[in-house]
Amino acid sequence: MGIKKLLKHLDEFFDQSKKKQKKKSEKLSKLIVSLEEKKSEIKDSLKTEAIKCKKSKKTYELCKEFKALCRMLKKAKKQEDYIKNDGL
Amino acid sequence: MLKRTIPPLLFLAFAWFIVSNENAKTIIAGIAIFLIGMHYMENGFKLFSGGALETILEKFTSTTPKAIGTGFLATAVVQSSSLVTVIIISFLSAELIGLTSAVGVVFGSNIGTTTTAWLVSSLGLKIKIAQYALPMLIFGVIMQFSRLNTYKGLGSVLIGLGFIFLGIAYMKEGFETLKEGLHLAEYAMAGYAGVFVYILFGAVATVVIQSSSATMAIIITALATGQIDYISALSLAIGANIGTTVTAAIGSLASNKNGKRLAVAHFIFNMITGLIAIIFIYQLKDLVDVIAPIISIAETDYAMKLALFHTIFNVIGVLVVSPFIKQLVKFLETLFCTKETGRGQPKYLTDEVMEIPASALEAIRKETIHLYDKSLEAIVHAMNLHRKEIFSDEEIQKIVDHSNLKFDIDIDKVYQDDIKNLYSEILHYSSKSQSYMDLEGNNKVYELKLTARQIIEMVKDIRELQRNLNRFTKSKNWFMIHGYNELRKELITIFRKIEAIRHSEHDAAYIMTQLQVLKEKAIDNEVSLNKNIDTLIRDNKIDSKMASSLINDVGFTHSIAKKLFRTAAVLWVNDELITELGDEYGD
Repeated sequence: MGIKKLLKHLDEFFDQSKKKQKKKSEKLSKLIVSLEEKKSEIKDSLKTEAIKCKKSKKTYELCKEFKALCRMLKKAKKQEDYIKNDGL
Repeated sequence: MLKRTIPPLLFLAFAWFIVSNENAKTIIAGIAIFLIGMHYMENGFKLFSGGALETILEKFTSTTPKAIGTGFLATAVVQSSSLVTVIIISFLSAELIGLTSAVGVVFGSNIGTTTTAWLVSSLGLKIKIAQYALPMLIFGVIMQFSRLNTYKGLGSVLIGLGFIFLGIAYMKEGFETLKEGLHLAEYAMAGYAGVFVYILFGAVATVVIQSSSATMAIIITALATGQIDYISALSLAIGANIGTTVTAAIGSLASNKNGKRLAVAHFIFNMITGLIAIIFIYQLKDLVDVIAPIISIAETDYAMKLALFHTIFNVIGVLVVSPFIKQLVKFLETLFCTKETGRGQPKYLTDEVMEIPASALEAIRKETIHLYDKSLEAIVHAMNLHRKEIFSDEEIQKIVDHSNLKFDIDIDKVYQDDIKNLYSEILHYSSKSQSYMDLEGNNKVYELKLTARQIIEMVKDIRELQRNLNRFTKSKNWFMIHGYNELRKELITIFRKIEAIRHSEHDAAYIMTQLQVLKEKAIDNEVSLNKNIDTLIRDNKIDSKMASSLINDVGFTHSIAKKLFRTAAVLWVNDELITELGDEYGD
């Protein structure tokens, strides 16, 4: 093994940034799954509440939570794509 | 006059002694090189571990056995009980671990430090280690040129090991040559008198050299070359263990109360251990003779036997003292109690913590929370409210209705005397500690500095709001009273929710979602309040001056809300990834 190759291997071994990105990507995937689950739960509750009363406080609260979850999900997916396209 | 002249004279006498005595020169040079090696090893591990050592010491100290085990392993690997102790003191100061865990680590570290004796007696004496020392030094220096801290650290560890090996080789050579002219073993005293004299020698040598590991290396090489007999070596080892407490005590003089408490724990432990070893020295010697063949130590290998003796009496010390750790901690907590810090003074920012990135980050985070609490108190009082009411279960409307009396609070004075000073301390400390951190740590500190700035800006915002609040809540215009009460209600709601989030045990994703919901509602409220003001203007319920005041103060209220959300996300969403998923207010 040439010295250049050896140094490259050592660099890869000590370079934590790729490992960290991979870990981040895995964590994001898990987070996306749990946020999706939560989103569908809220969506169901929102449908039920909206049938009862569209302008009730609970419908409003659920609607806000649904919106917040959608925004977070959108950001999480965007970040996941960014990591995937960044050479992983 | 005498104080000035004695040290240089002593130094000159010492220099003359070294120059005129060839053997002493070699032995003392060996000790010096060994100490340089220890220094390089310590600094190298700091760089090489990249925070791993800190993480291990923080995570695996929840129970006393775990703390002892972690203290042992950490010290055995880095070969430095002082490095482990420094980290532990910093963790204690940042409240990352409790005093019981810290004492456990110190106990374990005492066993860990005995591995140096094993290293010297096995590798140091059995192999011609000087041959390995030179390549280690060469590669160590080459690695020092690297840009990466990991390489640099590894290089320092190699240089450290190289110097340690070289130091041992010099000591060995010095003692072997000395043997040809002078045989110290002939002066050995028999019985307990000899034991006490050698204990004293061991202790004094450790105090002078400031390193029990170096003393142990000298004892082992002297024993291996036959300069001292076995029982004298055992006594010297006990002395080194006692002497090291003086080193720790001197080191703790400039330390905070945690450092001093740990030095006392170290002193008590080593004194008890030393006492046990002195009383049972001959029985322990016999025990070593029983165990040695079991672990394949030859009967005449006294250097290895000494290492075994050193480990055994430290393990016995831990076994004897550990059951009383709770009582010891109770006693330690009564020592070095300081008065409460004054107003505007930091509670967590201590110098001991600064050089350890994990502890420094936690200290800055806690101090920022301290700043938040101080600022919250000022903000709430400026709104003519009490914190107790705000965080009670009482209906918000009722709280607002019965709290119309103006509070006697000069927000400018509170800002200047308390909050600004604390903020300055955070900034000063953060900037200093950033020099010890990597890029990731620096970014985190930057986030916290930004949060601290947002907190003090909230106080500035409430200063603007307070003037009109006091003016219009006493006005005869019901619509203005109602308008300002709506602003107070808005802020109370947010304070309550954030306090719940702060103490919530839910996961970071849930907390972040709740913060996002709060933001969405705050945006809706801002729109709704502004629409109401428009209606009031159109219906001639308020004049234009009143309207402009109210519109401005809606802006200040929501500026405070915006900063509160950001502060909560940084301080209480303990997951960087999830914090990144949050929107800025109004996005």
